[in-house]
Amino acid sequence: MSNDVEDILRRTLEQASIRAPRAPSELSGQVVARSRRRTARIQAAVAALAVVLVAGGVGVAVRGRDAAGTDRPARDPAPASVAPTGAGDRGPTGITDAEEPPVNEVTPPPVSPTATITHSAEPPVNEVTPPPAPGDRNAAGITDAADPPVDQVWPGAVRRLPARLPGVGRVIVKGAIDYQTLLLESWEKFEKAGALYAYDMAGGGVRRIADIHTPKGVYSGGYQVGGGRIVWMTYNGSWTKLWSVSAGGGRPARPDSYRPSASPGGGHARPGR
Amino acid sequence: MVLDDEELFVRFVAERADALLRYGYVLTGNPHDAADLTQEALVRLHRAWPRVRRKEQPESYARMTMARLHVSTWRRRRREVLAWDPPDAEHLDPLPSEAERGMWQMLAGLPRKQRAVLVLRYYEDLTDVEIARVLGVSHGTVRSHASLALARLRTTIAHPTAVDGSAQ
Repeated sequence: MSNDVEDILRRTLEQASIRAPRAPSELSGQVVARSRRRTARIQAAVAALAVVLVAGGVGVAVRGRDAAGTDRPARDPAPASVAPTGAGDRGPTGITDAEEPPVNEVTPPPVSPTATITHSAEPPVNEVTPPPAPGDRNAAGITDAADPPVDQVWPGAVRRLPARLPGVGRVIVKGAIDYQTLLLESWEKFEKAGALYAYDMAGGGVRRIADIHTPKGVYSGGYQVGGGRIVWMTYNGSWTKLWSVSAGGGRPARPDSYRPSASPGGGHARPGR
Repeated sequence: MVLDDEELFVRFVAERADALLRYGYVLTGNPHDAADLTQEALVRLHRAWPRVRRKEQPESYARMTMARLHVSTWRRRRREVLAWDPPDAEHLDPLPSEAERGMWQMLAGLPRKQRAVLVLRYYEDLTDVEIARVLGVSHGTVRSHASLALARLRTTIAHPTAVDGSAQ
């Protein structure tokens, strides 16, 4: 029973993950923009906090002089009048970095004062807009669910293939080799590429191109097809290696012509460790 | 962040965002929360990128952030404005078997921490010690959550009417 539950659970999670939404191509730009806005807001909040601390210091000084018996009545420094604006105007939303991994588990601990600052003022007003009404388009120009599916608008534009192929297992489409042949990546194990395949959309046949499994922590991606060859990279977030194989099949090899120095301006590629 | 870091981050998102979304989907159980969780984790990863990348662990940092965000009160209080519009869950293809559909529904009834422990153990294939590190809790807490969650799933399978679908 126990094993049954665990087996069903494992299978369910794996199958369900296939249903997850795909990331839009512009996601990285959106994330970077949002990150920069948040950084700017935190810096503004830190600066405003410094103003408050200075103003508070003045208040103490004024009161101290008053307590010392000057003839002039002390003026209330009214700290509320110098409260930070901008971030504080909208009130804290309670977002903190507490959910992020402790940096000492991954990185050295930060010395920056922002490490203890509570994030506030989540998205600026122009970002906190209600969801568009049906039929509207959002800022990125993406149509919403009210638009008809593309295969209804343009019959024949959408082709479907099984998420799992017999003898291959789960596959993910990575590109097109030619007009009717797709480049597929199979999973050797979960989230780890095992091999590349060519899938014939006309007949449904599948042909193994090459094994591409990688060590733990190293991923494959960036597939490009051209000139009868498939080029891709393996990387671990710090280094990248380029690979190439004939679309007809064969053993993957590092391109002879590739040299890190041949990439003016650095490019994306970096030498391996 | 220097240009090279920026390029590496963009490439990381391009290559791994779908995988993070899959992870977010099994953690949360619905596509909108998955997108929300992934987007927030990537924003936080970007802010920590130069430090995280030096340790060559951007993916584990992102996944750890997602797990912790999910079990924290963060997501119960707010939801980010998404950069895109993921499909609603009812528009997704159904799970292939009745057993899996039932299990998915039962998972929706588990408290977040119990679900997170199961996801980390059975989807991420982490050991209990690794799960404890990811969630920032003790080893005993992980075992307790896993035991309670599995017991509840077994009970619900034996008595299907116990499914209430009330996600925490």
